[in-house]
Amino acid sequence: MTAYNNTDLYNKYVQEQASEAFRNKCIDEAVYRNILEKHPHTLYTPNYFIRIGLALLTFVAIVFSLTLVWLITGASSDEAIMTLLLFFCDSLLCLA
Amino acid sequence: MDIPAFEKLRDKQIITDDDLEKIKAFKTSQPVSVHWDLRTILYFGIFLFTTGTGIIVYKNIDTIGHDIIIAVIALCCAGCFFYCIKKAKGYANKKVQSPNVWFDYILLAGCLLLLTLIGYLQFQYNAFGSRWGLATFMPMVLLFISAYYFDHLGVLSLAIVNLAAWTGITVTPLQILDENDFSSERIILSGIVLGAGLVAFSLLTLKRNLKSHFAFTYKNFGTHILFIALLAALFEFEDIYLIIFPVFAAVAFFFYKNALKENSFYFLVITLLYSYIAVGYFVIRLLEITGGGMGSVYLGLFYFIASGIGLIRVLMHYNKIIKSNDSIQ
Repeated sequence: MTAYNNTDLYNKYVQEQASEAFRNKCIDEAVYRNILEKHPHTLYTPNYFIRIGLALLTFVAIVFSLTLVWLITGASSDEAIMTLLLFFCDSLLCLA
Repeated sequence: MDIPAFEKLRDKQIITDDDLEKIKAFKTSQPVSVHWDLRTILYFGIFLFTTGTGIIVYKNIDTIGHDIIIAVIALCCAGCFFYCIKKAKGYANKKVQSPNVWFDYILLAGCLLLLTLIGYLQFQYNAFGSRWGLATFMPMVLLFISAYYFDHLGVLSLAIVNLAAWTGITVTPLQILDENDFSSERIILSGIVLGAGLVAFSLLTLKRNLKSHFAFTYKNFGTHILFIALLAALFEFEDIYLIIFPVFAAVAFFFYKNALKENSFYFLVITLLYSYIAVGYFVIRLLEITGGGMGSVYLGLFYFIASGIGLIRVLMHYNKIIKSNDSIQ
């Protein structure tokens, strides 16, 4: 199974390569802009600090959701708590 | 740079043959850069050296003798500063480039050894008596002078940490420090003043163009100290939290506007996260007032889930806005 669209991945790669070439003054601005326009992609790539913020807030949302589900279900047996924790771990894996 | 990728672009006539030749020439002429690898290893080496010095002193304090240890540290420290003074290009308001690769590391080693020396003298010989403020004030002044004269951001960070220690010690009665009571209102208030002062100084640094590249370091320390001190005030002064909360909101609004103005992801994220903690505390206090019980617990849980998801949406929104303001220049 492919997680991401191949064209999107290729276009993103070309954009990164073009940025490097532009930074090193191998291509001029008009050529650089032309490459960016002809290789659009829809992949969500936020800034690193935004990524840290998103990870922390997702963690908060997951922990409180788990607590809410635990309170609603009133799970007290080992099996029930284990199932909830498995659900929680699965969510964390998705986050990673 | 990936040459086959650019060859494909040339085949599609997006770039010209000349562009491709330039890229190929650049790639073959560029050696592999190990600049940052070497710098990291050197910085790590200096920290290991100064830490190792401390451990050797601690383990052999009975056998080597204090005078010899102090003399060796003082000699090394003086050697480092002698080298730096000899090689330094002198003070300038703008950024001064290091005269050579070793300069920054030798200066950092000298400053760290200076701190060890002053700490040793105070611990062993009580050089400053019970005037602990003076024991932190002296190295702070020396570090600030070194940071400005030799133009070193690492030494500036050491100096700011020393300033925070000096402020904390000066405003706190010794008895409180002995009892390790860090929730004292004096410490919290001094934290607020120090944080605000550092942020104001960073703005002044930029305005007067006085080592303007130091502004980020001042602002970074100031922002964290101010937000943490305000959060501590919010939690500690329970009777007046309704007064502190608007102050917190005003400070957060200032940093929020500033982050958007400067297109800074970093300050935007930390402002939103500190504000999230403050608003969360405020909501819990409101739920407590409404009577507590299981209803409030459920409401609180719903609040944190909804606000967490809400803030994620807000971060994604601002990521888009700031990115759209990015320039390729």
